[in-house]
Amino acid sequence: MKKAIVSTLLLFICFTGIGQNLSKLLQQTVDCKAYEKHDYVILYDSTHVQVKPTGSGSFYILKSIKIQTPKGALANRVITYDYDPLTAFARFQSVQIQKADGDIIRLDESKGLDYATPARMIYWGARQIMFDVGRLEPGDIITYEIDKKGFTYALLNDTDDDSRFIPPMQGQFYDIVPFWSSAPTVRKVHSVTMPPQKELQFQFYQGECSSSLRFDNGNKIYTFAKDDIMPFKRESNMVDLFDAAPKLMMSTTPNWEEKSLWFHKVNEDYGSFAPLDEAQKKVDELIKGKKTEMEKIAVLTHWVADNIRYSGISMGKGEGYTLHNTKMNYTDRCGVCKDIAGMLVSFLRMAGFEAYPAMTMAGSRIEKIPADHFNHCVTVVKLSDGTYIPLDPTWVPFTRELWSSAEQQQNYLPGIPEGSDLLETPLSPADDHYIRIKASNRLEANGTLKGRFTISAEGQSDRRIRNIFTLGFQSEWKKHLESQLLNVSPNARLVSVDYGKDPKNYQAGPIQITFNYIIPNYAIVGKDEMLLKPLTMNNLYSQIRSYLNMDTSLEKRAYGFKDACSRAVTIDEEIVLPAGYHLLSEEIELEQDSEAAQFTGHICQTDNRIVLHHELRLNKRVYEAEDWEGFRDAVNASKELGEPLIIQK
Amino acid sequence: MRHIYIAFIGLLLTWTAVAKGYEAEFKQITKSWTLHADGGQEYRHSKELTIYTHTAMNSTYGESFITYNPNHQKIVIHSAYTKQKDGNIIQTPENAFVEVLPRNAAKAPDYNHLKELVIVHTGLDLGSTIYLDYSIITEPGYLKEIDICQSLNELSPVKDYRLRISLPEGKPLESQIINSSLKPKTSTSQGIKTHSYQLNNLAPRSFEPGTTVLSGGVQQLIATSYKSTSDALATLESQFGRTRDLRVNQLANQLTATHDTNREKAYALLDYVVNQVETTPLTLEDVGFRIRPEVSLITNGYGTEAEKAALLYGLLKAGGLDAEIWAYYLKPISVQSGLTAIDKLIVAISLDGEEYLLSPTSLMPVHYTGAYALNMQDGETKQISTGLSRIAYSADIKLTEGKANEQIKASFSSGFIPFSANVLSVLTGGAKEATSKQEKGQTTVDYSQGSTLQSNDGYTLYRLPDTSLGITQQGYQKYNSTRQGNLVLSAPISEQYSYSVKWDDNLELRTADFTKEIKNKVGVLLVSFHTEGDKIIIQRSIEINQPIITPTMYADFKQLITAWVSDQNKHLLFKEK
Repeated sequence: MKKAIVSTLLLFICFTGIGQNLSKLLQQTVDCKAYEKHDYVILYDSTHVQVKPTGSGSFYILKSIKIQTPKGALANRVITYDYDPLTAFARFQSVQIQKADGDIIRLDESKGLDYATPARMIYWGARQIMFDVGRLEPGDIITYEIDKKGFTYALLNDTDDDSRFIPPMQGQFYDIVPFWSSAPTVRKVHSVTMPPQKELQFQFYQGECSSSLRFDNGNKIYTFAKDDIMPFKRESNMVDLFDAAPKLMMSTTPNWEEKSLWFHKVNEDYGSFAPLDEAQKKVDELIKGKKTEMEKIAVLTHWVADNIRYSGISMGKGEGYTLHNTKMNYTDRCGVCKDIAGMLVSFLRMAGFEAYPAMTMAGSRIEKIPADHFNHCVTVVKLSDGTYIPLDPTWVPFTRELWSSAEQQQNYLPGIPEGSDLLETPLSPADDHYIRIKASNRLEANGTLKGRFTISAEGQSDRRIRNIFTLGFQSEWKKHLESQLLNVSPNARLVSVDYGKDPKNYQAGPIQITFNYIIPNYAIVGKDEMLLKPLTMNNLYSQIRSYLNMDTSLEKRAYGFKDACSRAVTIDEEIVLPAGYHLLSEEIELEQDSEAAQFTGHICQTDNRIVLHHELRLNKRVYEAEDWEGFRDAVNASKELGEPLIIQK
Repeated sequence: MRHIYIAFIGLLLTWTAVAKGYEAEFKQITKSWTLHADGGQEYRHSKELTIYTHTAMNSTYGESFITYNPNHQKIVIHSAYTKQKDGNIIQTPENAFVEVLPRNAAKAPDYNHLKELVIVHTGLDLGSTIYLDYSIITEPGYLKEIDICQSLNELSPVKDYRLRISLPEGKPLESQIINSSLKPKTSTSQGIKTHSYQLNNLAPRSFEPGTTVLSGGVQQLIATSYKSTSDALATLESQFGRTRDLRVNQLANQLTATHDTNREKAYALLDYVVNQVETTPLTLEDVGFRIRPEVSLITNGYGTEAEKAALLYGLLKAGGLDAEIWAYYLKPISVQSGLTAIDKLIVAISLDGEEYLLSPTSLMPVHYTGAYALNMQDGETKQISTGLSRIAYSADIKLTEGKANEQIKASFSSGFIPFSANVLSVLTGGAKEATSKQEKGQTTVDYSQGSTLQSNDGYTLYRLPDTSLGITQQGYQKYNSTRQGNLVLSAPISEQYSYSVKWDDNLELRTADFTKEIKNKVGVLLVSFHTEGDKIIIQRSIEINQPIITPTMYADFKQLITAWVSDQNKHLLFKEK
């Protein structure tokens, strides 16, 4: 085994030239002024993967970090590395510190720690290795090597039983390699040695790297390298770094259809969706009296969403990619997304539907290359017209949606018997997530504002407003609602609030809440004039108007950006003025129109009242960089309507 | 018939809990602590918790977490199951007991052996009851004495709460529930002395901000078998500086080498402990009341808060400064306690005739009204208070050519002043050409700053400058209009702002002169806008002389605070000519 490690090391060193070039890399940190201000610099970050015919592989990781400040020393006082013990194994192979004067201190790698990581929500026993480097000093260079084997890796020990490291999709290998870094990196290298019989497809996205393919004893060695990687400059509200920063995707799987077929088979073979008498009884009870297929699908989806809570315990072998079976889910009444999705598949099947699980990636795009870039699991059900629709019981508790529109424009891959290509969820119309605020106010001559407003909402907007009722403690409901007014003005007094008899009952219809209030000293009073902001535009329910927090001073964007959800925000407010006062400014009329967003709004005086109308339509959740101009113009117009108004005698 | 009657009563009680708007209800909690003659201990905990809402089921009570040290302790599960609403029993399966590293022990290799046992409560539905009964068995010698400090109020009401502390007859035992008149029921039988309590219908913990033991809003059990609080502290004190490692002295010399005054030296040493030793947020109890040698923190770069206090104390002493280490408590001084009742260890030093109380995790001074500290060297006790939080702020302002030029002089009492060489930047918001002067009990800064005036429909609204400190930053204005419990302020408050504002001829002041005065049970507020020739003089002052705001005083407190932050009292309106 030792020999194998040494030969691989030599091979690796030969490819990367680290042995000869460490001092050269170090010199670069001295020469490059851009590195000076950083607390530490990664001199070298390399990973080599040796893939076996089974698809398992061995990872060899070598990293060198130069400490530049005390803060950098503190940030690197321990080295940690995560792994899943059910499918992988990891250990430190060597750790050494090179002092500024050239002295080398070799640390005892056997003192590395290996433990179950802190956990909340998912209790699968994920592990971490850690090495206590101790206090470093500026000028120190820490270099360490890690061996890891697992689905994509195999350690160099042929005598062990390696069966647990063989990937569930046997013979297949994939990898997803971020080529961005939070610290300056002088050189990053990723190489993969493939056995002769395997073909690897790859693509480097959102940037460039140097790459090569070499043959060695019949093996194919793919190498990807990039120099001088500076910390990625983020833009506020930008898309995930996987959708913007350089990354490498690799896979031996020819296409998504094969992955779809495998995902279908692995769960069917395990028997994840086998019927269960007590669950069947619940299904029958739930669908009783439901006439249409959509009514049945809805009642089953919402029962699962609301009653199978998110808390994942391990089923042992197969955890992570196999859905817990019906008995486990129905008995435990808890699981992670895949188990909740699996419970729904079982329920739907017991109700006579054809249903399957699907994999998806919440937060970023899935590429055409079938690397397993998934972090979430959902359900698909076949309707009587033969089409499949996605359902997400994990993301729709306490909302009337069946597929959360907070996941619109998201790729997913159904695990269906006929196989499927990668699919994408459609845009959800802004009107399906409306927010409507209608306010009627009266301003008194001393600046006091009295009035009432009603807020109503649908879809994801409904969910966000209703959260205080569905997730919060009942004892705090009224306090939360009073806080909405206190956000407008600390002087606000909530006279009464009406949220109906059962605001938790999201199935009853869109949320609607009516507030009555008095706000003394609301307007700033001058000698013959007053200055005030329309109440509805003054920090009211700002937590559901997330676009107001977006930095619209940014003129151009290099990357796409995200908002919480598409939505239509309609606001109507009238303010009855005190006798003798009139609106000083001319009528304001604003209009912006683009594919991404539209805005129309006006403020004018009609008789003795100021009338405000605001209609903002934000059409997507995930926007392209080119959408920014139209989106920004519309949001800025919305903000402009909230500028203070002067009224005069 | 009797069964029907009992069932009806049960249903009625459940309905009552639901009708009161509770998410869940503890039918029973039982906790017992036993110190055996051989020095071993057993802590036994059992609970019956009925779930009424999804809020309780999903995010509040779905799991139980138990932290322990497997090198000296073991956990025994006596029973764990869920009784579903229909009576079906779901035994908690083996895979629902998961051991992980406690999050607070992350990145702390010396504490990597600690464990957190997570128990995932399976089978939960609305109306189900969680049953859990477990013991933590501690081997002799690991925990020296019975040492309890536990808040009793849960997020949901507890119908029947039982507490029992037992130990050999010859051992001393003091116990008390703070904020309760309940006395322990004491008994002795077969050489075992027991204190026990039974609380019925214990109210849930309040969500009101600032609800603490000191505010009277939390009931807390404190019990100890140490002979005295000082005896308990002696077990910690004996661990300070025990290795007498020369590296502590070397480091102190190195850090203070370029500094001449004791103040500068102290700044440098505190800065090192706060910013160059990472804080591991484990409590004294989590680590078995052990304190690693100071040199471990120097060589490894991390330590618990208590260890960092010991290091700060060691470094200050090694640097030739007169330092003392104090145990700081958030409980009445009269209650005897062990070590778990310590909120934190702090270090006191004297500089230029003034005493400073330093926290090893923050450059801000320690101050809480109502707390007390106990000197670990000589047992002296002192009430901690920074006295008045005082700000005196004056600004000379000229509005000219679309800009505001502001010349500011401000004095702050010591509670606002970071113990750092960087004090000027903090107090002036990084203003250039700022100067500061430190006198006894206060720091005064002089600086100038500017801002651009914004025009709107021929009007300019000018916001008077403010500090980034003071009562406005405490956020009381966002607190709800009513309170059930006391609110403890960090100190009585006195803030005075005066402004003299002049403006160009192209502006016409439209804010009218006015005076507003509020005087109530809690304090006094005065706001006065008064024109004098070509300028306006503005006085704003607030004094809150009650450090504890009771529910009956709260309306008065809110009246002062809302008036203090009111826009009308902080702005000038000008018309552009």
